[in-house]
Amino acid sequence: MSQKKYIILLFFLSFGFHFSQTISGKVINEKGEPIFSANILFKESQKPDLVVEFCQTNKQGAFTYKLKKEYPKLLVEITALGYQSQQQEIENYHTLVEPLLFVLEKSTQALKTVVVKSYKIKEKNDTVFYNPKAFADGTERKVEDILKKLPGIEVNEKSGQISYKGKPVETVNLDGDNLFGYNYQLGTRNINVDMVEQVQAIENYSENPLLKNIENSNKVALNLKIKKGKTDYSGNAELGLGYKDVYNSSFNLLSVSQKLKGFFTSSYNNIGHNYTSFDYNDFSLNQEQINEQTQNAKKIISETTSSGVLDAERTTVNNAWFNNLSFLYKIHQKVSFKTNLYYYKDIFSSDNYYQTQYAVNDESFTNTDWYKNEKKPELLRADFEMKWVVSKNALLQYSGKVSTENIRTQTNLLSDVTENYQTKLLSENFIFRNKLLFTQKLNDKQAFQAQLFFSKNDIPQQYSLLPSLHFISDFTEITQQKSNFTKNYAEAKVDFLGSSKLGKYVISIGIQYEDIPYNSLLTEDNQSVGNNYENNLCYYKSNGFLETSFTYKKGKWQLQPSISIKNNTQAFKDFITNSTLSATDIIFAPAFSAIYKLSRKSVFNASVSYDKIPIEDEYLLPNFVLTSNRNLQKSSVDLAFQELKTTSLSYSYNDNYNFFTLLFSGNYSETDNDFFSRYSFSETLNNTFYFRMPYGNKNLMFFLKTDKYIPWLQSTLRISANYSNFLYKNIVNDSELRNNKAANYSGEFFWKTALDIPINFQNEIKVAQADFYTENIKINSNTSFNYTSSIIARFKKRITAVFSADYFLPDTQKRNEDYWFLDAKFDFFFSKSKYNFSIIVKNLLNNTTFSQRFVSDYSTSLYQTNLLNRYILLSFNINF
Amino acid sequence: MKKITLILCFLLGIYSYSQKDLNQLQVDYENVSRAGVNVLTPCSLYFSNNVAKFTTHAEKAEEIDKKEIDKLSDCETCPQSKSIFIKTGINNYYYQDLNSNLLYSYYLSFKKNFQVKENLPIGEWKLGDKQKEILGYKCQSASITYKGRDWEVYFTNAIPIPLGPWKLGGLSGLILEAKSVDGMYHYTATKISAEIDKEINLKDDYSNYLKNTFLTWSEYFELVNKKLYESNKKTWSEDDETGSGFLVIEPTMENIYNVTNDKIRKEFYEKWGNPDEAEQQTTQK
Repeated sequence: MSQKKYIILLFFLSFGFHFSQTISGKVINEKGEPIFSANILFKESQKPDLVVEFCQTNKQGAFTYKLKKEYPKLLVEITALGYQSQQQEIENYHTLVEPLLFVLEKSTQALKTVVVKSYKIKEKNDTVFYNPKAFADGTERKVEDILKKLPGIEVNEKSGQISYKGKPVETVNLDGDNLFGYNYQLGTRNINVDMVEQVQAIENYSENPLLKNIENSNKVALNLKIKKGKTDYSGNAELGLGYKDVYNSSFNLLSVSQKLKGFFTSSYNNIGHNYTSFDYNDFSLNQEQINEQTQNAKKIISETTSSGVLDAERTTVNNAWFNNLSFLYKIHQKVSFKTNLYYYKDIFSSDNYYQTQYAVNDESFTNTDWYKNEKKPELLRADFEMKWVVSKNALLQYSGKVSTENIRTQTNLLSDVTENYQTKLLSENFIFRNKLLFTQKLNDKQAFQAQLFFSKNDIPQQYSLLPSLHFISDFTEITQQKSNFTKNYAEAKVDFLGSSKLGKYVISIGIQYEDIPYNSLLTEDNQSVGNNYENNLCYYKSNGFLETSFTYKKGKWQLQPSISIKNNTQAFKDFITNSTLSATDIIFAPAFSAIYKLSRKSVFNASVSYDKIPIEDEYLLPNFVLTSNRNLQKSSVDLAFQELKTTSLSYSYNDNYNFFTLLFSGNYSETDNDFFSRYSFSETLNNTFYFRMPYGNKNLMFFLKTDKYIPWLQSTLRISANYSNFLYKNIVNDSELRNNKAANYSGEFFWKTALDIPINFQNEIKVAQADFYTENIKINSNTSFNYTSSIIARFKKRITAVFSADYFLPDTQKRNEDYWFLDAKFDFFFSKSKYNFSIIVKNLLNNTTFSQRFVSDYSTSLYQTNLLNRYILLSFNINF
Repeated sequence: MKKITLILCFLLGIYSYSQKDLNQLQVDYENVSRAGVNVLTPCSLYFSNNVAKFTTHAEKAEEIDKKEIDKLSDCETCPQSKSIFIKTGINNYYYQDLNSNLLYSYYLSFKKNFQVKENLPIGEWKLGDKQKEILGYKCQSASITYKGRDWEVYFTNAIPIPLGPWKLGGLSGLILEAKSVDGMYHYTATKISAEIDKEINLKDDYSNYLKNTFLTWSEYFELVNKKLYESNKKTWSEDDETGSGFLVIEPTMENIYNVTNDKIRKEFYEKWGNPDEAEQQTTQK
C-alpha cells in the first residue's frame, strides 16, 4: 500500500554494458544498511503466486541476475527474514538500465508456532531388521544359508546353532511365534529362503511379552517374517539319487495363516547329513539337552560313538529317516495351542578298531578291540504348549513334553584278537516334563511370576555279552548288566522382577526337590555275580533357595552382582546294606560380573563366581557296574560339597573401518574337595573307582582370535589359537596319588581370497598338540596336522563349483600315515525359477578307513574308523 | 504517524526481543525412509544468526507399517532399497553457514566419524508450478538433482530463509516437504516454531564443531566408496567356501551406498552373470 513511498529508483552512471535481461539492484533497510540474503523473486504478473526465477543478495545487499526467459510483464517481490515483503511490477524490464533499490520495512509480526499431529507409529526396540533379498546372491536355498550372510549372525556348520553378536540365539520365531523352541534348526535347515520376507534380530529378547523392559534379558532371538502369498502353503521337495546306493531326499511344507502356523518335514538320507538337532552319532548335546541336564538322569552304560577329527559327514554311515510336524493354532484370541511331533529312525553301521597300549608303573600291555556295530536309534516325541492370556497383564502358560527313545546296538566284537563276543545294548529313555507358569505384570516396571515344574526321566539300560566275561565261572554263557537310572524333579518358584532408575533386579524364592532311584545288577546266566556288583539305592536332595541378582548400567559400565542362598538337604539310602547317609548345609554362592565399554570398538568383560556343588549323579554308585566290555565302575559315595571358583576375563576389539577384529579370553577355574579316579588296568578288564579327596583340579584356558581383511591381497586372513592347561590327580594300578597335567595347544590359520576373477581360493591350516605329564615328566604327546584347500569357481548362469582337497596327518611322528580327501560340488542355480540342481562328489579317492592317535597320562591308543565310501549324488530341487 | 511507528519498531528491534523472534527458527521434520524397512525418523532444523543445524533424532526412530507409508506416500511402486535399518541411536547432522556459504556434514561410516565440508549452494533448482499448503503455509514446488538423487520439494516464500531438511536449501524460502523421487526419503515438516529448544546452544555447538578437521566431499566419497567395496570383498572372503556375492553393511548416507552397490552389482553380473537374464534365457529355451 504505502510501499511505493519507500521505493526509490536511483540513477547510476551507466557504462553501457548492461544487457536488457539482466536485472541488478540493492536491498537496504530504513537505516540504509544493506540486507544480506534477501530474496528477489521474479513472477509473471498473471500468476502472482508462482515464483519463476529468484536470486539472493550478497553481504553488500546487492544482486545481479540474468533472467533466463522472456516475460511480457515482470513482477518482482523482495522477501527477507524479519522484514515485510514488497512487490513491484516492472513493465519494461528490457529497457531497464539502472539498478533497482529496495528499502524494506521491519516486520512486526512474529512467526507463529504451528504443529502438525504426528503419524501413527509402531514401536520396535532393540531390533535389527534385515531384508534378506539384499544379502542374497541367488545361491541360497534354506534359511540357514541366508542367515550365514547376514552381518552379525553366525551359524555353526555342524550343529546349525545360530549366534547373533556372539550370543547364542534362544529361538527362531515364525512371524513372532515360537513354533520350534530350542530345535529351531528344524526351521532354519528346512524352510526355503524364498518364503522369508524379513529377518529380525532381537536383542534383550523376552519371550514373555509381559516382561519386556522389566527383565534383564541378555537373550537374543531371530524372527522370520513370512511372505504373505496368494496361498497359505509353500514348500519344497528335493530328490537326490546317486552312485552307489546313496539317497538324500526331503520334503517340506509350511503353512502360515492368521490362525494356524504349521510346518511339516520329512527327510531320508544315507550320506551322513543331519537335518535334525539331535546327534545320535556322537551324542554331543544340543542347547535343549544342555538346558535340561540338571533335570535329566544319567546314562551309565556307554553308547558307541564315532568320534574324531573328521567331519561327521565323512564318518557317518547311516540311514536316517526324520519326520516332524509342528503347528500352532490360535483357538481363540486369548488362547493358543502348540505342538511339535517328532519321529526319527536311523541305522548306523560302524566298524571301529581300538588298540590301547598301557604303560603304568613299569608295566606295559596292550588291549585291542574290534567293534562292528549296528546302532538303531528310534525317537518318538511330542511337545505341547498352551497359552492363555488371562487379562491384559496376566498370562498363564502350560508346556509339556513326552518323549520315548530307544537305541538298540548290536556288536560283533573281537577282543585281543582271539576273543569273539556278540554284544547287545538296549538303552531306553523316557522323558516327561510339565511346567505351569503364571505371569502378572504389576505395573510398567514390576512383574511377578509363579512357576510349578515337574519332570520324570527314566533311563533303563540292558547290556549283554555272549559268551560271558566269566565272572562266576568259566562255564557261564552270557553276562548281563542291567542299569536303571531315574530322576524325579519338582520345583516351585516365585520370581519378583523389576526395573528402577539404577537398574534391573530379580528376586527368586523357591523350593526344589529331586529323588534319584538307581538300581543295577550284573548277572551271568541269570545268576547274580555278587553283592559287589549290585546297586539298589535312592538319593534325595532338596533345596530351599533365595536368589537375587541386580544389573546396574551407567555410562560405560555394566555391573551385575548376584547372590544365591540355598538350604540344601541330602540323603542317600542304600537298600542293600540298609545304610543311610545324610547332610544338611547352607550354601552361600555369590557372583559378580562387570562389563566396561572402553570405546565403540573395545569392550572388557570380567566375572568371578563361587559355588558349592553337591555330589554329581555318576558318583552315586557304591558297587560295580559294567559300563563297557572293558570297564567296571564304582564310587565311594560322599555327600560333602565340592567347591568351585571361576574367574574369567575377556577383551574384544572390533574396528569396522580397518576390517580388524580381535577377541581374547582367559578362564580359570579351581575345584576343591573333588572326585578323583583310581584306575586298575589289566589285560582283560579295567575298573574305575571314584573317590572324594580334599584336593581339587585346576583348569586354565586362553583363547585368541583375530581376523583382518587386507585390501591389497583382496583376502581375509584369520588366526586363532587355543591353550588349555588342566591339573588333575589320579591313581593308576596301586600307584601313589599322581599329579598330572594335560596341556593342549591348537592353532588355525585361514586365508580366503575375493579376487576379481571367477576363481577364488581358500586355505586352512590346523595344528593341534596334546601333551600329558605325570609328576612333571612328559609321558605322552601327540601332534596332528590338517590342511584344507578349496578352489571356488563361479561361472555365468549361476554355476558354482567347489573343489577341495583335505589333508590329514594324525600323528606328525609318523609322516607316512597320512590321508588325502578330494571332494567336489557343483550347483546349478536358476534364480527366480522353481528348480535347481546339484552334483556332489565325495571322497573321490575312496578312502575306506581313517586312523588317529589318542593319548592320555597312562595310555596311547590307535583308533581306526570306517568311512562313507566314494559317491556321486545328483540332486533335483523344486519349490512350490 | 508512520514514522513514529517505524522508530518505535526500530527501537524495539534494538532493545527488546523482536530480533530474537524473527531471526530464530526451529523446524521439526519427520523423515520416512524406505531403507529395506520403512523407518520414521524425527529430525530438527535449528536456525539462528545465519547458521543452521539439521540433526536427526535417531533415538526416536521407529519402524512403521507398510500400510502407513503407503498412506503417506503416493509412490506405490517405489523400489525397495537394498539396505537394512540398524537402530544405532547415532545421529547425523549438518551445518549450513549462510555467512561463509559452507555446508558441513557429519557422517558415521564404518563406526568412524567423518566431517565433510562443501560449498553452497548445493546446485541449481528448477522451480515448478505445483502448489500446496503445508502447516498453513502456501508452498510452491521445486526440483533438483543432488548427489545422484532426484528431489522434489515444496517451499514457502512466507518464511524467506534458504534452508530445508538434510542438506537441502538455497531456495527463496524454507522447504517444508522434500522427497526423493526414488521413494527412499520423504521429509515433512511437522512443527515450525519461533524459538529453539532451550537445551540447544547453536552458537557453542557450531564453534566447537568448527574445531574438527574436514574432508572435501570428493575425498570422503572416494574413501568410503573404497571401504564399502573392500568391505564387500571382506565378507566374501571370510566365510567358508561359497560366500555372498555382494553385500554392503553400513547404512551410509546418500548415493555412496547406491553407487557402490550398483558398481558391485555390475561387476558381479559381469563376472557371474545376471541371474535375471540367465533366467530369461532359460525360459526362452
